[in-house]
Amino acid sequence: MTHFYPGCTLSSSGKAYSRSLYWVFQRLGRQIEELPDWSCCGATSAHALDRDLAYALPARNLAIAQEMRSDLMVACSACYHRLKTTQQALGNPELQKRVQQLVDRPLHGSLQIKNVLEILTEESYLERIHQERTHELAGLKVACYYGCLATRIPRVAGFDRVENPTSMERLASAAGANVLHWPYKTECCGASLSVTNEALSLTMCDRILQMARRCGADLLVTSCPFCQYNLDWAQWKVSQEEAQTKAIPVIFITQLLGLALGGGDKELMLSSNLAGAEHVLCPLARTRQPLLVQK
Amino acid sequence: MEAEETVAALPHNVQRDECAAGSFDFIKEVEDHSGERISRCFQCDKCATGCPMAEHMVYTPNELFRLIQLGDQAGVLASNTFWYCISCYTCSVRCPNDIDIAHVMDSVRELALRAGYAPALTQARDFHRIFLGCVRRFGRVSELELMARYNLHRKRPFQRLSLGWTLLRKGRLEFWPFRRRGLRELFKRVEELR
Ligand code: SF4
Ligand code: SF4
Repeated sequence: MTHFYPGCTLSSSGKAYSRSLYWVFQRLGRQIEELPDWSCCGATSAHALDRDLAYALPARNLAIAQEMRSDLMVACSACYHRLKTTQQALGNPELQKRVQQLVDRPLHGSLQIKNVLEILTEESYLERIHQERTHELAGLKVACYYGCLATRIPRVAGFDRVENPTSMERLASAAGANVLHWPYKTECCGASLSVTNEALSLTMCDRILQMARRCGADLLVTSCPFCQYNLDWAQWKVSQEEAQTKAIPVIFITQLLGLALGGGDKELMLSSNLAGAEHVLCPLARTRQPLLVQK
Repeated sequence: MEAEETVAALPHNVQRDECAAGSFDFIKEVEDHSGERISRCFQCDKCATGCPMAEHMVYTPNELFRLIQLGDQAGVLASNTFWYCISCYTCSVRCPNDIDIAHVMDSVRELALRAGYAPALTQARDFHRIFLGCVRRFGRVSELELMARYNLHRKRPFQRLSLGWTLLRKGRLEFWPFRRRGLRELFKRVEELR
């Protein structure tokens, strides 16, 4: 049994991620169930200020899953990072005892924590995506962007290579997109600064976006809700102040897969893109149901 | 050779002889708190080379580690390095001595706050506190609540209104994504253990 740990971001600014993810999995024949009574993993803030909270908040969710003898599927890179790190740290018996006391639930046994990309790149899904495509993405030049957290977990064997991951490239090509190779796929976008230090965050996004533009990307695809929000917000922000060249829409990998599998705006929420995705996606839409609902 | 030069080039006016006579208490404190072996660092500079924030840091990560080894507690805790660290973990996965550097940054930040040092980035500390307050009360974070509280705290209630409006219009804000109960008991137990 595997339960889905959505995390807080996926119910607000990353809603398009969870909506498209649920739809894509359903389309591939898998029903997704949310982890009951899940709570925030404390991402970025807990570990920044308090070591005990940094472990206790994710551990509470691990305990729930363990009680149900369930594995976890995680989409958000930050949640994934915290849950994995905590599980690894709890290997230390002293820490495990301390955290168990804080969580007030038994922490034992092992469970697997899997990233959505890890599950989707399992051979059967890759094949099914390829076979069940209903809509062409040909001509769409896609750069995959992982950001920093998805693959960088110290001392944990990850699902992909640390410095040069390729799972999204495999998925995007299975979906029929034209995959670009570019150098900045694991550069940090500075999302944790987008509230407290806008200027710095904008500079970091700009570097990444410029490189994507120079490499000829039509679209950036990511699996991290913070990266999606930050890179999208950065382009929206610039467009408020100056006329800029057309935005490079940043969409979730599940939205891209959904496009190939025939999803429309209702299923994929493509119109939730802040910087706008019409100029890239509407040409695809000639033969299909409304891809984007103009708001 | 390299290491010698890096140490000599420390931007801080640490007298090396002075520190050599200094104590090991501080490195022990940091190692105990983080569980990481900072004494292993041999100044290869890999962490600083890949750090996206290095240009904003008074001491790059390797320099900070050298100061920890030398026992310069005040110099370390008053620095801005761990405030500018954005936890991208680039350094941690590249360190040839398997030191989780990003985790050490968290530890040093915690020690600095505990010892009463003023944060180099007050907004960052405040943001994290407000964030954790939301988790305590509701168990989950509503971005709407988080932003509203942060803006109020900064006494700029009308900041980012157009962003908020755009997010709302595009269906990217949720009004009530909370659990019914917060995590008050868990937070209390954490505080009691401190
Ligand atoms: S990468 Fe590791 S060993 Fe090299 S300077 Fe940084 S902390 Fe020291
Ligand atoms: S985790 Fe912090 S110190 Fe390490 S590379 Fe990233 S910003 Fe620099």
